[in-house]
Amino acid sequence: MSLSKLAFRNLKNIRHNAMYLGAVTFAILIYYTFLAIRSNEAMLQANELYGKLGTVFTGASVILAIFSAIFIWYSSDFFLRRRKQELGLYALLGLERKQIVQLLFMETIGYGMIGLVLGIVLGTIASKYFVQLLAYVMAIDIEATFTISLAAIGQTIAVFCIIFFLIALRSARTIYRFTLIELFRAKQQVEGIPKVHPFLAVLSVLLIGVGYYLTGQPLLDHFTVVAPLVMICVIVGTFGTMSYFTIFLLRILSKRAQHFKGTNLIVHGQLLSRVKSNAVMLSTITVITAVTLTTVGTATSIYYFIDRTVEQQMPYSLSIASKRAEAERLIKNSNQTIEQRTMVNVKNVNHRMEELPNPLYLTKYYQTYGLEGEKGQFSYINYSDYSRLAKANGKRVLSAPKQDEAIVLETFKGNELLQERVKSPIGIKITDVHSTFRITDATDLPIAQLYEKQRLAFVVSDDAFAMMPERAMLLTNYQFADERTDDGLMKKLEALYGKQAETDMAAYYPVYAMTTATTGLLAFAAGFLGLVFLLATGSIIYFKMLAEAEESKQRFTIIQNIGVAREEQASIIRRLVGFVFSLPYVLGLVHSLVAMQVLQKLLNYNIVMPTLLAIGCYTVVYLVYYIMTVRAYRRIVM
Amino acid sequence: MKTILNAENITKVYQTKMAQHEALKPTSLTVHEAEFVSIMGPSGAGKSTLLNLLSTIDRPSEGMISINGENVTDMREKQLARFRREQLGFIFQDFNLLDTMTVEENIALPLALARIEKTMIVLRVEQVAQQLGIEDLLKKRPVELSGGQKQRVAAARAIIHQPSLILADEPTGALDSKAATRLLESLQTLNEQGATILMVTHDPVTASYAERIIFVKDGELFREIHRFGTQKEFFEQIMEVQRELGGAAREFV
Ligand SMILES: Nc1ncnc2c1ncn2[C@@H]1O[C@H](COP(=O)(O)OP(=O)(O)O)[C@@H](O)[C@H]1O
Ligand SMILES: [Mg+2]
Repeated sequence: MSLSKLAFRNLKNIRHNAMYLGAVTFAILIYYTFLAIRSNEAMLQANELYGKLGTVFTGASVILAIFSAIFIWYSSDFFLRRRKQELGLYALLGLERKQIVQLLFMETIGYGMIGLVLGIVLGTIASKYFVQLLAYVMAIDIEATFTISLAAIGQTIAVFCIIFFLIALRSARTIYRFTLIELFRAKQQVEGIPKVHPFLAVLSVLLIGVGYYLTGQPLLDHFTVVAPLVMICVIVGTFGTMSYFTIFLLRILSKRAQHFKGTNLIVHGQLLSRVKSNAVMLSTITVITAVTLTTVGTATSIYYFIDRTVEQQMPYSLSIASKRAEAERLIKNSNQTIEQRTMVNVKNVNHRMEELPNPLYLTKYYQTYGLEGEKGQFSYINYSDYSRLAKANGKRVLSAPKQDEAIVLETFKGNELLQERVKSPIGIKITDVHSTFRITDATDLPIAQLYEKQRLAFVVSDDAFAMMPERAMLLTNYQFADERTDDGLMKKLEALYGKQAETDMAAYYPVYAMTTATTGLLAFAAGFLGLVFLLATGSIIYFKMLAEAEESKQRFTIIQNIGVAREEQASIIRRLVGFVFSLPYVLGLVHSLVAMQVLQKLLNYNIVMPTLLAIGCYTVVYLVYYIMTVRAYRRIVM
Repeated sequence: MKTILNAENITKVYQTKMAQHEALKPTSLTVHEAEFVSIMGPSGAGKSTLLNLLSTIDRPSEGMISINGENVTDMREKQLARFRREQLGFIFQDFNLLDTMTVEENIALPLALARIEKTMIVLRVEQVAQQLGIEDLLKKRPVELSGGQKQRVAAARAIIHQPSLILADEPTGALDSKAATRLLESLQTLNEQGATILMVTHDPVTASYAERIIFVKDGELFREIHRFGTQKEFFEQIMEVQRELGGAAREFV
């Protein structure tokens, strides 16, 4: 029988290799799907609109390619291990190593081609639905169709050919490295009993602790020093914990009386013999998991809070500073209806304060003091305009300030991460070029959303306002019936204002659309990658455990003979698999919770809901993998 | 004398894809307390098949086996596992030690499975290790041991829970003659102290350590001989039967 015939016969034995083929197909499917989303006709249109898709997707596709390589690497390792005996038999029957390598090469390419075809077909179908989902989260209106992208197919084939080539090289190396007899009896390779390093074990856990502790410290002061330090502490600590602390823990366990109870002896022995070869994989997975969970949690949180963010930035549907009549005519001719119109007179007055007192300097959107030679300015409105605006916005109307008193139109929140204590603004004095006012109250009432026109705003008495010599601007704010749709009104308004569009007009819709599209895209990419990472890490543990199962067959036969009932064997397997899954699960979870705690402060969001969602998905996926792994393990050894 | 093992008309038929293979024809045998019995025959005769049935690792196609008065043919899997680990001790040709555990832990396994107190276990391990001369090896791992040492560890594991019956399948198969002699002498000593041993072998020298030998050929019991005189005389007797067996003579060159 010729070599290619043998390879073909092995290929046909799909049932035996279904898992490997599945893994390869999965990796290709994901990669191709992602590329196909990018090159989908509909997405290309959206890309022109926002121009940000490209970079996000390119970055993500590079990460995916690397990940596919690692993923296939692990699954083929399992595949090769399982077949060592068969390959040894070929050698025994007189096949040269070169021929065995050729055989493996042909098989790898064969499965690669099947995987490519399956992956691309399935990916074409999947990408349509993913494009729909993406369009939905980005709130853009596009029709997703089944499109076949030659560029995406080409890139997929190119990337995976490289991966398969690397895999084949690795197989060749394995074949050449082992002697015939080693191949034939590849099963029993016991690692020596790992040494216990109590000092390193404790140090590793301490390092993680130090990393956590540092996140609780004022971060931004020395961000460039502290942030990498935290990362290093936690990552090194994680690798140390997986390598040394687990051994330490198992050794402590084996000193206790419990060690000699039932099947504990067997479980501890098996775990201990595996710790060393699993440590790097488990710590890598832990770190990846932590990063993934944090990213997904944060991205979805940001997406989740778009409404609030945009609402804060753009409280009115439209604010204008000029051309009121023309603008209103345009609105009247559009689908929009004006629900509410508020007008307010604003005077901007120069001041010479070099630095504003706490908490005035915490204002976000306004240019309040001198920048690049410009004078610092405050905005003033009179009490009459204020009361009307407050009523229109459904706010409680504060009592009128006296001649030298002012109400500041802003509420102040501290930044926990900066550890800034926020004093009450009440009692603080502000001084402009004409006079000084004492702040008596504070409220969060937006006077408009024209950040070019307005500064940090104060309400003063009608008399005090009248006495200011500056010319008043009339700002008009509109609330539309449905500010989240646009039938071309925005374009017309921009045309109307021309050059002044930046200073004299600010609308809700463009900001909303842009924010939704960009954060939606980020959330989608993060979610997609997160899901892929999750599945891939789960699969890597799965394959690693099955490789272990293949090597443990003999051990289970022994304990079966000695009289360990099948139920007890099943419980041994559950504990072995459970230990390996729970290490990265728990540690990755804790890492990401700590990280999200920090991000929550940084972003000033309450990210509990999206985080719980991410953790929920994560838990479910790991549980499913755990159950699958236990089942497959049992099928192999029992 | 008390009967430890009683098998009545047990058979074993292996069902392969193409055909049925009757590896063991109807066979009956009895082993009494404190006996040292050897089952002998050429390779492929069905010795392991017979031993696997008697040791409840495999189930007979027909017939009934009782050990220490309990009928094991009707037992459920869980019951059987429990029975095996409480009533039987095993020594296999390829040792069957768990390479992930120390010698001490390997020997302790049957007691741990029986959920005995740790202090008791450690004490008992010391005891049997001394009996078999392996007390210096307790902290080592199986990979660090020679074949003879491994097999003595296996023997220690087989006797630690004082089983009703010790079953050994080619225990000297992987040992050099010196290690084999040492192991067999240990088994003999254990037997003198009251252990019941059933051993399978194709080697006449090994068999000659028993006090009774059952010859098996082509899945059938062929002959049974008892030892009366010295071991040397017994060996001659074995060779005699061997010659009668004829076809398999080349086995013993
Ligand atoms: N699991 C099995 N399936 C099919 N045939 C078997 C099986 N085990 C043993 N046999 C066959 O039964 C016969 C006896 O085998 P065995 O008891 O192992 O012989 P011995 O131990 O005396 O060398 C042999 O012909 C062998 O091929
Ligand atoms: Mg045999």
